Amino acid sequence: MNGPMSSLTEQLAEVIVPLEEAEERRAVEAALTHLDLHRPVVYGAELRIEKRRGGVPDRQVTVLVADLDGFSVYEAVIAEDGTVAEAIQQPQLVPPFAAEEIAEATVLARSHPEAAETARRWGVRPTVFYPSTHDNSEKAGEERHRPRRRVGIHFLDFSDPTATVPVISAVVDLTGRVVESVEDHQDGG
Amino acid sequence: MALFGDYHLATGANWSVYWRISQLKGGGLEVWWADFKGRRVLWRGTQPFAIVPYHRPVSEPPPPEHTYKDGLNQQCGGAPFTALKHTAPNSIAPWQNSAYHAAVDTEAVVVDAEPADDFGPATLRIVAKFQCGWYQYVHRWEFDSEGVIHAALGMGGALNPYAKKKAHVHHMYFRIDLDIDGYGTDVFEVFDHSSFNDPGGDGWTTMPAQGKFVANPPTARKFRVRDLTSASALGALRGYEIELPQSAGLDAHSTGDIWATVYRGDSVQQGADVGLDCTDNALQNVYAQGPLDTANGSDIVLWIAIRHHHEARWDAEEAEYLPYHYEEFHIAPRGFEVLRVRDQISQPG
Repeated sequence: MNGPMSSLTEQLAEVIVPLEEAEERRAVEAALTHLDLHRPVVYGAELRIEKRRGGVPDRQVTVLVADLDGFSVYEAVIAEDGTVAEAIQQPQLVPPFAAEEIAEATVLARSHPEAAETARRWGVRPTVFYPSTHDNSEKAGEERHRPRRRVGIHFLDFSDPTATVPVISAVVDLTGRVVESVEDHQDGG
Repeated sequence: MALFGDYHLATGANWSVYWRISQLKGGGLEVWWADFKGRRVLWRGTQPFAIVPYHRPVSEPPPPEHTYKDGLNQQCGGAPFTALKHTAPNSIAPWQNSAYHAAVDTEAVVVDAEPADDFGPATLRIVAKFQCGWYQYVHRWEFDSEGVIHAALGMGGALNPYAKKKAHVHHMYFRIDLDIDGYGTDVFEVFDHSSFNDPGGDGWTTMPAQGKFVANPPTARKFRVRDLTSASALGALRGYEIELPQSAGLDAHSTGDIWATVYRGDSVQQGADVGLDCTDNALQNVYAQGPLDTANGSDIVLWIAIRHHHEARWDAEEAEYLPYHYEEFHIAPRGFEVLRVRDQISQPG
């Protein structure tokens, strides 16, 4: 016996069909045209279904984008007819890193003089981390007012699976395309 | 079809459920429109974030809070939930090798429908695993043929390489939007067992306002969402109740067990704005504000925290990887349906 679907869910059938590639492309293009960003990064698009009392919800698409200049994150909502229903800045949202962001940050970190030699050592591999914004230092206080896309790169020695050893960490500012800081863990630093 | 974010139907054990994974904000596995025997139970269930304070002194998580917020809109040095292929090993390997990351949501999720056996009902299970820093989180939802929803979170992966010996607590948060046979006519109630003398030994209290609540084992406290209009064949008003078997207590970062709020949308108050200060305070100060309509009902949304204190076995069992450890709670029907012996099903479909 299959679990029978409720009539409430049956009514959703048309609005929750998978997002088509062309629909996704149109939504992203509409968002980018509307926002007119200088250095856009597109994190993705997905269906957005909101509960509607006494009726069938609208089929909308959310597009999450950011401008790397000054790092502003926007969530654009695209209606079924392809128009932008709303575009909201999300200053507190830190999207997961896109693959291209990780790649660029890793290249910058590896090229930094304090990290270059260590990062290329056999058994040492990079992984990402999300730098905290909760540093109470004076510098961090100043920096909070200048939003930037910051990507953390840990370099760890993975050669012994029972003793993964942190080697060096770098915080890369993708907005300024610079390595912001490097911390060497080999001296207990 | 999108790589992530689409809705996928799963059926079995008298249930019809949709699932999806949203990768945009790193919130993990979601279940939508869970219907039992043709009636709506759940609009949406998510387990979008965890708050993880560490013993001090410790360098990572960073000061001053030494507490990660993992998952949706990670904060305080935490990491988002990244979907892994379900075949990815439980080890540190997926942290250093993105080849284990799921390229499409169907690579991450496993749906199983199991028949009833001699000791329990049939089940529909939806499960996926997520990389979160060096950790892995397993999001698991089980729906059984007696109407119970089993919500579980598993922890695996590897110990913090910066603090292998440091104990920490995983406070894991679930957003449960119960819509009992439709929405807008539900009340939130709290049960306490005060004595063995009836009448009045046990009692349910209907709550007139949103707010934060705590578990209380001495009074067998539990919670329920009850519809004011829909009744079972024997006349009971339909509802679902929640008991929270906590294995760790509250602290300065995780301050409650359950929060009763109301639906304000599927794109707001999803947990992204909780944890900016490395605590769950926004659940009470921002989300759980305002009255509840005890006469006509409200559209209730619950936030639930379960937790586990992890004393690391860094010098033995957990040196190389963390065996999956699960914590769970159950959302069980009360007054929803008369269960018939003849309906116990032995086939999974």
